Amino acid sequence: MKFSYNWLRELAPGLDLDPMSLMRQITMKTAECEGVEEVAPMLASASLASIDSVELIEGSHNRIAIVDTQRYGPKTVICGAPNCLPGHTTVYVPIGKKVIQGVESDGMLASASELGINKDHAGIVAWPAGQTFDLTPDHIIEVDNKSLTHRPDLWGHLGIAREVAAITHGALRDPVNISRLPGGPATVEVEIRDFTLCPRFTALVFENATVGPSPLWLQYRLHAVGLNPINNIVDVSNYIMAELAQPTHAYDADRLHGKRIIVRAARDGETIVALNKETYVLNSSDLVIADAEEAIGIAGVIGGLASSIDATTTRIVFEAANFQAAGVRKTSSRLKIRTDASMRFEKAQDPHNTVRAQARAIELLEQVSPGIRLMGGLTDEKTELRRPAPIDVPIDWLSWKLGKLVTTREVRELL
Amino acid sequence: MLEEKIKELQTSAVARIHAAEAPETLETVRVDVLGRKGLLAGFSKEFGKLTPEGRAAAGKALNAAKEAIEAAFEAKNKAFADAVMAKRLESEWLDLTLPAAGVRPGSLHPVTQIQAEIEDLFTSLGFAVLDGPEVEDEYHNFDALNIPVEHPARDMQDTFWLADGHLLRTHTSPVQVRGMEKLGPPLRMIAPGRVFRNEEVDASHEHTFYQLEGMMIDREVSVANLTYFMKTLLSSIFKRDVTVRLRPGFFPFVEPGFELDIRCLICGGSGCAVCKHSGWVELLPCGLVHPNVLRMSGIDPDEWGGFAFGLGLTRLAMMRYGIDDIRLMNSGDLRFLNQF
Repeated sequence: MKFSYNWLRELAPGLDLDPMSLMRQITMKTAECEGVEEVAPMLASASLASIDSVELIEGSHNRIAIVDTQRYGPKTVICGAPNCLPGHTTVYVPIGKKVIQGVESDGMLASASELGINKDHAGIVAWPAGQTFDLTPDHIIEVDNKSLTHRPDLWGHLGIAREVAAITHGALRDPVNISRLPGGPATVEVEIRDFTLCPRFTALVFENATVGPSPLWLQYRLHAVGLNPINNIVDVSNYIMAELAQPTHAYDADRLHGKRIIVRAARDGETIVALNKETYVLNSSDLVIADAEEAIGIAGVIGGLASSIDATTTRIVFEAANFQAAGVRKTSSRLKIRTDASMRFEKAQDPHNTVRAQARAIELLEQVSPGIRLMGGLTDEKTELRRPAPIDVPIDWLSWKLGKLVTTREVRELL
Repeated sequence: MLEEKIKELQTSAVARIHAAEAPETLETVRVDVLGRKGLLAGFSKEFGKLTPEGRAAAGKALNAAKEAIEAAFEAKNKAFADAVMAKRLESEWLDLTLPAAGVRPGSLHPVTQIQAEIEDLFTSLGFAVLDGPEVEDEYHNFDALNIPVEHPARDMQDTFWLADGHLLRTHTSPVQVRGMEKLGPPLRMIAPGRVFRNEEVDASHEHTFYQLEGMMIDREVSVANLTYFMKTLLSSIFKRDVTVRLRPGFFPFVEPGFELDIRCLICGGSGCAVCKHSGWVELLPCGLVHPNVLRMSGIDPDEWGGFAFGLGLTRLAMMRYGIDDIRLMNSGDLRFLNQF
């Protein structure tokens, strides 16, 4: 698992260790780390630049652009990108002077892939006018997955941040504002046929969504931790997973049949075309999410292609559910699909986390798809959930097990 | 006329044979005279011109000559062979009164040597040395060690499954379970043995290697006890004082679980290639026995506690002798084995 240092520092604001020391501390106190890798180092010297004028070099696709950079003043650069057009705002990097086709280019205008923000190398960065440049280099700490097998909470940044806060004796900032959850009658009905395999299923419906690329900060976060940016809606779903460890899924509401979502066993021989465009043949030991007509997702593993979000989507059903670990693992190993979702569910996620993910989704979707509106309240189908139970820790039992005298104060401080 | 010529040839040939000084010269003469296109064969062509009487006489003479030459040739050949043999007999001789050379002594495999040392150490500390089957059942290899079916921890060990549902044990830990079942608490045991993983073989991975498992169960067993025993063990193996540290590590059969690191013996902690510049080398997984594991073997975790550890014997032998390729260990190559 990859963890972004910047992201962790956002959630554990007291983090004052450099990435290398943090990695060593995590290895000593929590789980074995495999290394630290710097990402997007170029962002350190990058500057926003508005393109004043562009002149095509004859017999070449290259242009001479005169740009006004925020940090370095006016510069003349050679740029081959088709979207290098006057009036646009982009990103400039001072990489030194170089003569190209007889013209001196002082630095360069960069694509997002050159900067390390994502894999987009079709043209230079198109930065929204009037927005400040807030992307900085990051470090990725890679934690050995095997050493996280027993800790479902550590499959998201918040879990690691909780450890970091304990290590640094600092605060933990919970990004979830649970009061954002809407009250009132729900728009979508959910029926769970087997509460053992699916203890909880929550859904929200949104309308007036616009689907397009995510803002670059969001793409950068996902790219840095090894997730591919797809579109703003799917990216929010993945962002929540990487942050809270709770997988979620977004369906295009207008592509669902009927008003009810059913969590049921698959029929023997039932097929589904998944998001990866592969067709899977299911049997009755697999759990599916279905609408009135067909399976729209393999529970906890992968969504269906037919109901996925695309550029035409305006209404969204947003799912945050909990599935039994053994069931997800069985299906994912039988069908040989390991996804970021199945990896998390098979470690046994906490059903209480589903509604937290929904609250976070409301906030993030509003941010990336302005104008999006909630339709109705939260659908929350669930079995009797285990209440968080207090665990008695007798202090002399601790000392006995450790073979070392432990004081109550020390324990309180660490917890 | 012809008969005279034959006589002449016989005389000269025999003379040449007698004169030959080496087997090679002799061979030249043989080809010259007796060969298929040799001088003797040349005479038979002339037989057609003779009268029947002359032919009979000439034939007789030819046969006589052939026999004489061949006899001379054989005699000379034998003389050469005798000379060679005489020379060999002169130069080589065997003293049959000497005693036999004897069987060359073999040596113990490095893994066997380390295993014996550790067994000695733990026996002196009051531990029993236990053995268990290499073909195990699923219960002892997984379930009884708190790794139920569909638990992701089963992915941590690639397993050779047998057609009848048994498996080749992936660790020596099932012997712990058998030890607890058979002996009950209090218990001090180690279990060295061969284990199997369904892995691609390369310089640092083998499908077959050796581990040593240890367990102590008693009324009050703590992390401090564990640390003491591990330090004693490692100081004895490396024949000097060692510094150890514990890090959290996940193994389903212990809680808390640790990775025990040893201060790098090569650089003393200042950082080198062996410890990847961290100053520490990961050496063995250990921890306090998980209450579920005790319970499954019929031991009350409120009354008893214990520690367990695992040691890679193969890896330890490689570290001690500076062996950089695990494949040598099972190669059976005498050039490798003779060094120990």
